[in-house]
Amino acid sequence: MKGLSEEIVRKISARKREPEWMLKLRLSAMREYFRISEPGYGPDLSGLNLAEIRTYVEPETEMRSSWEEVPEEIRETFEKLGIPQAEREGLAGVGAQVDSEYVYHNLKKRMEKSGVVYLPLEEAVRDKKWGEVVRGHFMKAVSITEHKFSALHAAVWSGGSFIYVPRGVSVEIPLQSYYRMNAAKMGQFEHTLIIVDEGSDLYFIEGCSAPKLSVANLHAGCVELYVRKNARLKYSTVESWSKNVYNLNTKRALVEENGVIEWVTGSFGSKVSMLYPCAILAGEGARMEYTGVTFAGEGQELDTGAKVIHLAKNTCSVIDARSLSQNGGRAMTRSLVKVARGARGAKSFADCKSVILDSQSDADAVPEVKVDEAEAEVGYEASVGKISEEAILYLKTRGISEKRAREMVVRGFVDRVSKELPVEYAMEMNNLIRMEME
Amino acid sequence: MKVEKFLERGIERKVWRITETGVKVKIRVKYWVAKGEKLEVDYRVIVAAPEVEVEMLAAGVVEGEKELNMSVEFLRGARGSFGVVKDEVLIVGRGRNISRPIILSAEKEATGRHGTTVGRVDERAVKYLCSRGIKKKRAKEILIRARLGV
Repeated sequence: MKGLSEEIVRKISARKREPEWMLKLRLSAMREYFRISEPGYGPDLSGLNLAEIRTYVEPETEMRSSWEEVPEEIRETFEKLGIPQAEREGLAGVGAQVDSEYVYHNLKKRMEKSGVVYLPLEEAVRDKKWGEVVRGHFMKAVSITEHKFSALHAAVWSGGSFIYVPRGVSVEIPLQSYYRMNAAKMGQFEHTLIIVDEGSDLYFIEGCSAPKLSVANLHAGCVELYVRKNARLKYSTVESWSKNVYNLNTKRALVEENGVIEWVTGSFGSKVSMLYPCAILAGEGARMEYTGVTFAGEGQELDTGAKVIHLAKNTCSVIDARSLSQNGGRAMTRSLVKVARGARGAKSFADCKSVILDSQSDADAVPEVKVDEAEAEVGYEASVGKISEEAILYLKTRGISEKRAREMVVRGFVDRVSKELPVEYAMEMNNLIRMEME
Repeated sequence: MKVEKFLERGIERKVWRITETGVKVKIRVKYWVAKGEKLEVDYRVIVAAPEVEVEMLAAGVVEGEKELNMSVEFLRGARGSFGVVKDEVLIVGRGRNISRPIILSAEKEATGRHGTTVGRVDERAVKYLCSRGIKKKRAKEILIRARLGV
């Protein structure tokens, strides 16, 4: 199914046996997609021909809850990525999606006993109880009219997770979803919807990859997070899409009183990325922390950053964004800090550093600080420059080769992100950096 | 090259393209946007030569509405160049502020730094002046003028 039309939207909805409200939402989003223009800022998207993108690709298997039942060729892919091993050793649950559908989903029994819900989103939509919960939250944090690609997403979304953590429950080990795009010229539009109820705690990890192809693929997923009063959610992503992918993902968290959202993001893949995790601090005392690193290599234009909107009193945000560019890559750090009138006592601090590793590459820092409240304090600082030659020289005097010294300095530069990730993801991130620098 | 401005309202747009080696550019903007007034500033410095130093410093008070875009762009070849862009804002009353200090760089051997701080009049200093018999409104005005140097 290529491109977007009413026929395609109806086919997707019928295949998923969705309730009428979801079909109506999809059709409304489709109309908005045709009405809204492409963004007037950011990287060049002219290489993306949406009419050629397959908006739905069915994998050749049903969803399983045991790895042994997953077809061998798909299982091998995920075994190479370490997913089944990670699940055995240190995860509370795993979802694995190939192209447009989940192929594996499992939640450990003790998590189920504590009332944690972790379902493929389509199942949650059809569920008698959870369907109404999804209806009340789906495309509410991110509106279908937000931008052209949120409208496209809402029209053709497929796959993704629904997670609910009940009041007072702390999920001590992470839940994970992994997304794999195998087909050429396809779009992946998974939707992640997480509700962390009052006083509860969750760590969610998202990983993604795709094989190297010579044609454009599109990733226009959406993440909506609801962090209730006194709850805490840490959302980590290591994104290593191949360099033919246009990654136009939208992520937003709505945080209530004294709630905390932590974003940890590593962006290494894609031909083009436009990715700005955003938090709306709607309750008094709500907090956001963002730690992110972006590495733009040959042929890549990665426009990333963080956004935070302070709506309530005594809210707090910290942004720590790092970027590197090499081999003609272009990294743009684009951030927004907005403090609305009435957010008295709001505090925000952002520190963005960009390093250009060679003479062919670019780095830009484009912040926006919008403050309508006299009783707020906001500080933003950023720097753009080259790697520290003094640090390289010092390491060379200790017998370390220049190549190795550069790699060490770069890994030190991104250390704050790797410290926030589970060991396997930190290792994957270090490998991705090493591969980019070779 | 030196540019100094004190702005209170209106639209101010300028682009400077620096093509000579070793030029030092200092741009100082002070502003006091009173209630009901609007100020829009868009300053761009494009650095196309080596060893250029650019300082774009803005500071002021916003009681009305202010939008400030200040950018330094290092083109390839601007080796050894350095740029600083800063905006220090005091918001008073129902003031509305937008600050965009931007650095664009296509040159590995150039360095740019930018920052914005948004804060308020120091209440302790206001209290001190009030304890000396100065009315609160006048105390705030004294502190603002001291900060701006006007």
